[in-house]
Amino acid sequence: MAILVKLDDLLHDNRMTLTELAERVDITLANLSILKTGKAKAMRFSTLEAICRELDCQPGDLLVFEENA
Amino acid sequence: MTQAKEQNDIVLKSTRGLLIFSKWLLMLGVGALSVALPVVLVFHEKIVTKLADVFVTPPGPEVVGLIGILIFLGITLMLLTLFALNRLRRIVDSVGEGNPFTRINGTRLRGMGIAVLAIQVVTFTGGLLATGLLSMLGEVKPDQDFHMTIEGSISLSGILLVLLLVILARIFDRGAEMQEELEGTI
Repeated sequence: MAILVKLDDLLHDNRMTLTELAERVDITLANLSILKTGKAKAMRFSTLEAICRELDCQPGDLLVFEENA
Repeated sequence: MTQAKEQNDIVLKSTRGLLIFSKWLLMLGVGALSVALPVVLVFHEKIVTKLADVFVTPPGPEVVGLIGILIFLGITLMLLTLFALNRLRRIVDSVGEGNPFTRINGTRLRGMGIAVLAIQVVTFTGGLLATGLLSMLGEVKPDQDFHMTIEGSISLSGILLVLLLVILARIFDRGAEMQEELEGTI
């Protein structure tokens, strides 16, 4: 997929675990894992908003477009 | 449970019951006709004699062959209906489970459409053969009470049903795609 999810990097920068984020944004760990591994087909604005709020980032920091990915 | 859900359950349960009842009825019919077919062929002379008592012109042995073909078409018709009903039952089950928009249901609907089309063809062919059989048998003796009318025309509602099933199959395919998309949405 050309859209890469940089959740791992953001979690590392914020020194937060996926479980912790899952609790904070009220999304199941399984769904966040799907998002992290790039297997998600779509993302709700509400999910994006919650992740950006908790990780103090912009949508562009989380999602990156790479043509050859 | 809400009233709408309860009503839905009643509709689903009665549909399921009706489908199971129809299935057994059809299986009984297939069994009866499967027994009738060899019986007609084995006792063809007796049948010709009995027919000669009813009709002015004594029928030839080819009449029994035609009756055999009609019985065979009847069995085919019932088996096709069974095929379609089984698929419908599985679709009804998936509605009951709350997950009807699956690719397999689209395939089932397409299968039902093909079965209904085949039923139309078999019914039409059977109607033509039965009309031919009646004209072969000719006039009934005046002292005999025998009446039979057969219509061998193409059913418009049957063709519409085929089209409806094929379109519904496409709707279910699209529904399955949307369901998969929804499941992949975080």
